[in-house]
Amino acid sequence: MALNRRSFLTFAAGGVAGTLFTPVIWKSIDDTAIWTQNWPWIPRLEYGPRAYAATTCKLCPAGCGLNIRTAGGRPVAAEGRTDHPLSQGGICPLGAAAVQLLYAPARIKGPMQKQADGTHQPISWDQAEALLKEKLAEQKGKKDAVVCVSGDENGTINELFSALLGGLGSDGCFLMPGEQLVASKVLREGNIGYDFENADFILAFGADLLDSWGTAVRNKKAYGAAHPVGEDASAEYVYVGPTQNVTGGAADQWISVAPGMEGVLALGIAYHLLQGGMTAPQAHDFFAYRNFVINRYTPEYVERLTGVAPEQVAELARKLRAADKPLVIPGSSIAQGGGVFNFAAALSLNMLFDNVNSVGGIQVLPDLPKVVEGAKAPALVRAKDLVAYVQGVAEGKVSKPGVYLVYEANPLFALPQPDVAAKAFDGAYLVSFSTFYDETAAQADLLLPTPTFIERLDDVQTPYGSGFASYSLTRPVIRQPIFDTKPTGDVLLSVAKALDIDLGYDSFDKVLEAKVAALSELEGFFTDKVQPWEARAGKAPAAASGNLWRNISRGSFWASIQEPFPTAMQLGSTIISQTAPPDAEDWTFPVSLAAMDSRTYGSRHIAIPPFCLPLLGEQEIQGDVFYVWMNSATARAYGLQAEDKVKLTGPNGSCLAKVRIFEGVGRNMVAAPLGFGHTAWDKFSRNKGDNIYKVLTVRTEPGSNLAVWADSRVRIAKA
Amino acid sequence: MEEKKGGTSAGGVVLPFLLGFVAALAFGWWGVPQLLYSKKTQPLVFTHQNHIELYGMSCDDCHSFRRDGSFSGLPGNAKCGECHSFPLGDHPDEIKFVEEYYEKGIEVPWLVYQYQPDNVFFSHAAHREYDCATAGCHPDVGSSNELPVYYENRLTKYSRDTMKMKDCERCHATVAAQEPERFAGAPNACQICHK
Repeated sequence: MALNRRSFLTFAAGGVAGTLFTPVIWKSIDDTAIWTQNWPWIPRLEYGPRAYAATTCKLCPAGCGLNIRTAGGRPVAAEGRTDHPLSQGGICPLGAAAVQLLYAPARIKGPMQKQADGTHQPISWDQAEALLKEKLAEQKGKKDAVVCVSGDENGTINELFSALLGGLGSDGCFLMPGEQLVASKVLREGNIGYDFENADFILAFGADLLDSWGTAVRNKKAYGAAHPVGEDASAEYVYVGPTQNVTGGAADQWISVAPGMEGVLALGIAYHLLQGGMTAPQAHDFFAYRNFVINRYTPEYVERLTGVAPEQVAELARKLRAADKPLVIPGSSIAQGGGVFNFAAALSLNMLFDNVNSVGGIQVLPDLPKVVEGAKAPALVRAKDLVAYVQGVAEGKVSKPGVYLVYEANPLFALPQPDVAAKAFDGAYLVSFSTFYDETAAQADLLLPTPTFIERLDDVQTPYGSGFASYSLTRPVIRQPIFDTKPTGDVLLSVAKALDIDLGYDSFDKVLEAKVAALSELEGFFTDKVQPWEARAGKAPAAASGNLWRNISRGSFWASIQEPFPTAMQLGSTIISQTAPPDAEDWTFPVSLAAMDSRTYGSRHIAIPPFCLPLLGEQEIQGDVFYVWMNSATARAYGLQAEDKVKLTGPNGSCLAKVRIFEGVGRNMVAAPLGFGHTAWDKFSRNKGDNIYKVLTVRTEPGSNLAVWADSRVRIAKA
Repeated sequence: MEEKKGGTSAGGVVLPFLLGFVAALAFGWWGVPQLLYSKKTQPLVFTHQNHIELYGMSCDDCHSFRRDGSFSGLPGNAKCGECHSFPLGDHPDEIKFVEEYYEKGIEVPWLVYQYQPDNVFFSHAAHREYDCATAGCHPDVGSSNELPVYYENRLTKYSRDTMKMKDCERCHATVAAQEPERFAGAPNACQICHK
């Protein structure tokens, strides 16, 4: 047989035919399919023993107990702890995203320094600390030349910051603004707590109890316990606020009042109570209060300012009187930027019912003992007004500090009028201790990333809104931190040592150990059998015994219902009369801006986590345009329809949005969500909507001199 | 010319065709597997036989179920180290285990014949009543003195012994048909395994 073309083709044909009788083709197809399942970039499941680690959430100030579920030592999910009074098995959307945030692309992977061209380049921790030490040493001894902005309302870390600043000769330790600031203007010592669980009529002014205010998950649990399925509710909830937010929707009654006018309605209720003969003999200033309220807050006046019909106000007063244990919650609908007037006015109703430090009433809670020598008292730190300070610096009235230390806060995004904050920060050396690459970190000269709460030891003291003093620890549940981060407490101690400032500790862990040891100064108990509200209602808890550190560091929750001091209360007649809002109408900016906050939108220092994006409805954001809400009457008045583009213009800034028609927004108001419009972070959070903080406008409240922005006003026009 | 062409074509076509056919068969059945799979040996010599017969261990001692019902699979260093934290005897692999793996805290990179892909939910606990060796799920190494050669697909990096979906389906169909009351939960619906 000669090898010619014909025999070759025949051979090939035989080969093809033969191949059909082998598994080669089918095997190749099959293996190619399997190969596609094994591409290295496909995420793999982690195998290994499954376990739970009990810890405390630090993503917002509510301090919920979390169980971090791990597989083979790797965190995979966060769940609410059932044995923790502040979570009781519940979890908020932000807490549920905790594990995902651990691996978020927005995390800063190690210390970095800003270069001349504006980019950030990695440096070592030794270099970073030397640089920080050098910058602080330059300012040492100059008055108020170093300023700290902390976003952690209730951590012991603030003691380290204030002691370090004290050692440098500065008094500039600030917290990001919140309800605590306003409360501290009314109550000089201690914190205010609210005993929801034992109350049977809850009247919330502004405070969005079920979504973004205070101990939100615990509040929801209290609400749920009072509304059992298929049975009569054991407590009635009434919400007074601009929008029918989660609280307004769930409450038995929602009364729409423009932001900033909540206090007027409260005093309108007080009018009826006083007319009905109620007194508050325990308050020294009762008669001044009575005269002021009865003369000024007549039903007609209250109706003119709030739009609430006189019968409705009288009915509310009647319901409050009929209740066994009424509880009135003061607050602003965004849990920040409210004035003393609204707060004191709502609080005064509690005093008329004499339910201060009583079951189901408001509680005065002690601050936990201080452990860092040289640290300022927490009450003094809480009372400092960051926004007023920043405005002062931007306007040149206050001298600009040399160094800003920003910890777990994002002031260049989340302060009202962030451009003013930018002006105040411009030119100073900015150090960011953020976990994430937020707007402030993006501008910082030095980035010293702190680990997430899943990777570090930290603590939570009595969150604002809690009805009892408490303490719990956050602990590392992951074997190795994911990135080259260092707990800020340790950085501060090491830098203080280099500056010859003795803070008394070698490591932040030791500070926390000392804090736990100091708890024994108060009567406390572990909440394993008896919950704090049960204890307040009379059930006897077993005193905390055994090794406190051992128990708390393994997740036990320490609580105290001890009353700190005999409270001589005042109704606040002086402050209420001094801070009362003017009754002149503002025609330049005729529409009230009702900002909305929700844990779905992240928190003050965390952008919307990718995990929460699917929770946003198509009428919250589409593409990069977000929605503002108004009712149909308001929309008609401005010639707007659903889906129209609209421009909100405030005295200081403006933003573009689309219109959503929602009747759960009061008349002549526009509701807009906070937390959108990030420009830093990662691709999941960036460029979604616009930043409403730009439109919020700061005014100074007369009488208290407090910076206030919850009652901002805008013009709206079709864009 | 035409006749000649026709005459030779009868004999001249069959032979090359047959040659091509046989060559393809040989290539397909013998050559391709040789090319497709690389042979690998386990990082250490391990004898199940010794552990069972000489030391009276049972399978459960190492391949246990955790309290939550999940299967711990191959034992890690901690488990092996309960006995082998220092060399028992002078076998080079015994010394290698202690020095190279145990003391350095590196887990032994055992080659697993039977990993299920991640898109399959597989619970060992639900299958523990079956004799997996005879059912064809596993190579039967329980009483062997040496571990079988590991064949790795060069293209997919899969073990050659990985179960195919049809093997799972066949057993589910047979078992569910044989004892429908007892195994009502073992039908072949997609979501039974791909959940």
